[in-house]
Amino acid sequence: MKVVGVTACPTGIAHTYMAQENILNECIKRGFECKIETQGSLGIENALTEEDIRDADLVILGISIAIEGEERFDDKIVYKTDVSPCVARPQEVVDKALELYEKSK
Amino acid sequence: MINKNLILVDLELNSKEELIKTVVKKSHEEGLISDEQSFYDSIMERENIEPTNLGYSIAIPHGKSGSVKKPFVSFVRVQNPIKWNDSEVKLIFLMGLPVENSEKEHLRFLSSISRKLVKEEFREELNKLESQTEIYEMLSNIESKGV
Repeated sequence: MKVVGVTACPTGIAHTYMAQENILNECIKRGFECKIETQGSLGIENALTEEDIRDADLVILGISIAIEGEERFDDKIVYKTDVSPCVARPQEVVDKALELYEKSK
Repeated sequence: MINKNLILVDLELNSKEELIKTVVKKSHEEGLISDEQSFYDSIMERENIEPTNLGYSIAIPHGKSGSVKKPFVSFVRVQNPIKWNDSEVKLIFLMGLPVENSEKEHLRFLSSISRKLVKEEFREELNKLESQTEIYEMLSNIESKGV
C-alpha cells in the first residue's frame, strides 16, 4: 500500500508538522509506504512528485486551510479531513482512509 | 529562541486565558513583545479558528503578530491540569512569531519541536525534569542540534 498526503494548518507553525509525523508513523507501523508533503510556514516541504502521486493507492489530506495543488489528486482516492484528528487520533484517520479505499476500489 | 526566564515550571493557574495572559505578560517583561494586548489577541484569534490543544495534555498556543519583536518559545508546566476547550492540558508551549522576518531557523526549530511532541519519550521527559534549568538545557539541545 502506498499512501501520500498533505498536511496544513492555519498558521503553519506546529500542527502541520505534528500531523505529518503522526500519519507517517501510523502508516509505517502498518507496513505502508508513505510520503507526506507539508504546506506550512516553511513553504512546501517534502513536495510530492508527479510520480509519487501516480503510484499512490490512497491520498490522505489533513488540512484546515486551502492548499496549493489540491487538483493534483483529482483522479485519486482522497480521504480528506482536518489537521486536528491527524494530530490527536492518527490511527482513526488511517482506519477511515482505508475504509474509503476499500469502498472505492 | 528559547528564553530560560520563559520556562515556567509547576505554575498554579486556573484557565487557558489566565495562562496565556501570564506568558504574554512575562514575554513583555523580557522585552520580546511591544504590546501585550495585540499579542494576546493574535493568540486568541488562532485559538478561535481551531483550539491548539492536541490531546496529549499538551497545547501549543501561538500568535503571529506585529508586536512580536523576536521569535520565541515559552514552556509552561502547570501544577494542576487546566481546561482547554474539550480537554485538559498540563504542558504548554506558547510561541510568538513576528509577522515579517520569521527567519527559517526559528520556524525550523518550531517544526522540530512539533514533530517531537508526538513522541511519548519526549513528553515523559517534559513531565519528569524538575527544574527550569534542566528543561532549558534539554530544549536548547534540540535547538542547537536542529533535530
